Formats: sequence, C-alpha cells, structure tokens
Amino acid sequence: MSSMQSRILASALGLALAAAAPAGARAADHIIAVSKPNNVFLIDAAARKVVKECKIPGRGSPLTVSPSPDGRIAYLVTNGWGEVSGINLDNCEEVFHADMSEGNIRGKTIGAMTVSRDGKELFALQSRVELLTDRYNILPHRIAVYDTAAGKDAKPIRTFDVPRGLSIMVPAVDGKHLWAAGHDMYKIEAATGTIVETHPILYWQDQRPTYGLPDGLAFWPLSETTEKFIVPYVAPKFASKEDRDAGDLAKATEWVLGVSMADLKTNEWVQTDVAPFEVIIFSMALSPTDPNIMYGAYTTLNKYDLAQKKVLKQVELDHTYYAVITSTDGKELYVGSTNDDIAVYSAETLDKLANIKLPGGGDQGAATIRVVQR
Amino acid sequence: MKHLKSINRKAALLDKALDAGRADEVVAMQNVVAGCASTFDPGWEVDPFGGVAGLCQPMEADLYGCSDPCWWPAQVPDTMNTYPDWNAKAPSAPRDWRLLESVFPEGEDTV
Repeated sequence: MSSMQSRILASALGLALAAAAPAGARAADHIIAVSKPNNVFLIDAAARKVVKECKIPGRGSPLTVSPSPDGRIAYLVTNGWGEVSGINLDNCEEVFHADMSEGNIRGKTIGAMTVSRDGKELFALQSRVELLTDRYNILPHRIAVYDTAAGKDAKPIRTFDVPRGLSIMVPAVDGKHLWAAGHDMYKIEAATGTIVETHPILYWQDQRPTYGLPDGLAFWPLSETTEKFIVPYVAPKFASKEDRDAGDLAKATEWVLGVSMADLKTNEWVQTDVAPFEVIIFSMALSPTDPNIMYGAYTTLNKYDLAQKKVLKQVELDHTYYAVITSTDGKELYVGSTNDDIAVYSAETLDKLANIKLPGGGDQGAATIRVVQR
Repeated sequence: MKHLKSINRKAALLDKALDAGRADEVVAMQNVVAGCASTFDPGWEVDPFGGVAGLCQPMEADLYGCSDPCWWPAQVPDTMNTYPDWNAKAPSAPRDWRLLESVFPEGEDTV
C-alpha cells in the first residue's frame, strides 16, 4: 500500500470512527451481549463495565446478534427464534421488528441472521412449516431480506431458497456477497440469492480423500475484529482413502481440529488443520495482528500456532464458554455465551484479566457476543 | 434399524428412506442439528471420547445452550413451540434450576 493510499484509508477510517463515536470520544471496543429472559447489554470493554441495559420486547430468549455498522442498533433473533427485533442501544427503543411466521406458516430463524454492510438490509434464514389441519408440510429453507427502515411490522422485500442446515451468516466486505455456513460453506450473491461458491465441510469426501466425516459447530458469527469467518471442525484422518472408506474409526491414524475459513475482505476460502484434537472447541478466532496465531474456546481457552499445528498454551476457564473473539487491537480475548458473564483474557499470555457480570444474572445460553466500535 | 420400530410419521419416513436406498440422505448429528426431533445424540452423559471430561463444566453452563435449540428433546421440554414457559422462572440455570417446571402430556396426548 502506498503512503497516499494509507493516508486516504486512514482518513476514511477516521471519518467512519468519528461518525460512530460520541463527540469528543475516541471509538473503542464495545461488546454487545444478551441474556435471559430478554436483555441486551452494551459493555465498554476497556472499562469492563456494562454501560447500557435494554429490554427486548417479548418473552425471549435472544440468540443471534447482528449490530448495525455504526454499532447503534442491535438486531436480535428472539421470542422462540420466531422474531427479529432491532433495539436502539442509545435509548432502548425498538426500531425494527419482523415476525418470521405468516398466516399458517410457522417460521423459525435457527441462527443465521445478519445485517448488510451498509446497514440497509437484514437477512434472516427461515425454517418454515405449513401448519395444515391434518399434517405439517415442510417448506424449503429460505433467506428473507428485509429493509431495516421498514419499522416494526417489516415484511420481506425478497426471498430466496437456500440449502437446509445454514446456521450462521455474515456479509462480505464487498457488500455484494454473503458467506453462510452449516453443512458446507457458501458464498451467496446478496442481491439474487445465487450460490456462487460451495465449499464442502460435511460433504468433503472427494476433496479430502483421507479424512473421515467431520463434526463441528457453525453457530457463532464472530468475524468483526478480523474479517475472518471461521467454522471449526474435528475429523479423523486415515492412512489411505481405502482405510477411510472402510469406515473403521479404530484405523484412524489421528484426529485433528481444523477450520474452514472465509476471508471477508478478499472472499478467499481456506480449509486447514490447526492442531491435534485433544479438547473440544466450540468457536475459534484468528489474531488480527498475527495470522499465524489462532484461539479457541470451550471449557479451556487455547492458543494455536498454525504453522507448527500445535497448541502453544491452554488454560482452564472458570466454566464453559462457547464464544471467543479478539479485541480489535488483538491484545485481548473476549469469551462469552453460556452463563452470565463475559471473561477477558490476555491474548499474549492467556492470563485472565477480568470478569464482566451481566446484571440480573440471566444466562446467555447459545447466544453470541459481538464487538462494535463506538 | 431392525431393532427400532417407527412410532410416528417422521420416523416412518426415515424407515422408507432406508427401504428406498436413500439412507445416505439421513445424516444424524453432523454440524448443527436443531429442531426438536431426529437428534440421535447421547446427551450429557458422555463426551466424544467416551468419558465425561469433555462435557461442559458445569452442566448448568450448557443447559440453555442445548435446550433452546431443542438439542436434547428426550430430556428437556421444547421451549421453542410446545412449552415456551418451561424455564420462565429460571433465567439462570446455575442459580434457578430448582424452579424449572416439570411438564406432562395433556389432553388427547394422554389417551
């Protein structure tokens, strides 16, 4: 990058940050977290403090969180995963609401929901069932697209069918594509719903002839501090395709932890082993400052060296946490989900730095945390 | 499957899929499975290694992360559709687990 480009980029970034941050304040990491039964919190990460607490209309519980680009609005899948609500985090006002059901068709958003890069559209996966008098008619999964300015009775402005099993979705930086994951990973044209790339995970038998069936979770869309969309996997490896096809897991030569990863800036996709599979990992994050370093969380917090494919350090967490994401500067790790706290760890040493308790003590469950700059 | 008998329509469809040679289309518990049915998983009793060290610690940290998506339908009620208030008095599983409701089949389900 030339110095001129650097200055232009820095200037543009400065403008963007200035737009998001209050006058006189520098933009800084804030964590959006949710808890049962229907709470959403804004946390000043550096101050280790909850600075805003809002109630989400309805019974809850909130699940997926997708912030508006300026970090002002938290869009949430809530109410039995049947509705999406947009909450203004400055005044707690509900500014957007969409019911996934219509008429006798019951719709559920099982995870995948995101806001576009310009904040103007919201994409929600819908698993739909037609409730007939004598039977349930299973309908294709689809993504419904909403205008975020449509208010509190928003209806889809377009829809497109997608493969079943999508559970997380994020927008690419180009503003033209979505990346979604479930059984496989997909690059989707946001305007048309056309799947332009399919990268196999569950169905990777031809691309990875010595790998057995993988298992893994695609549930926490934690990409905002690195623009890397990461889905972990665990799989057995065999000496040969013939051994793999024989299906005898006792013949596996090793078990590996790995990732399928889309770069949201370049739309490049990679799939690589990370380390021997020794402990369960639910989510992983790449360091924003060192592309050779990755982190993973579940009941332990782990730091990995990608080149050496080994665990550099592992520490026990106070309890299981599902979600891990780095701070924007890469110096800290935020771990959340499950119970009623966000823990902060040093990305360098994995020393625990803080626990941020969520008021009310409600569990986060499977809900994700998100990091915004404001 | 010869030792299992289908008792509802969805299970019968699985049987038909086997008979028609389409068994590969039925994939249990790979990647995210959610939705209150057809989850063939042992639950909280055992981890992938056959032990318990890989389970969530404590178990209450995992309760709502699993029950909200109907991950363990045999062990907890379906809060997504059928029993939405099962845990209404217990927003914190570690603190409030004694307040979790028991649910029983009602009406024609009991016939």
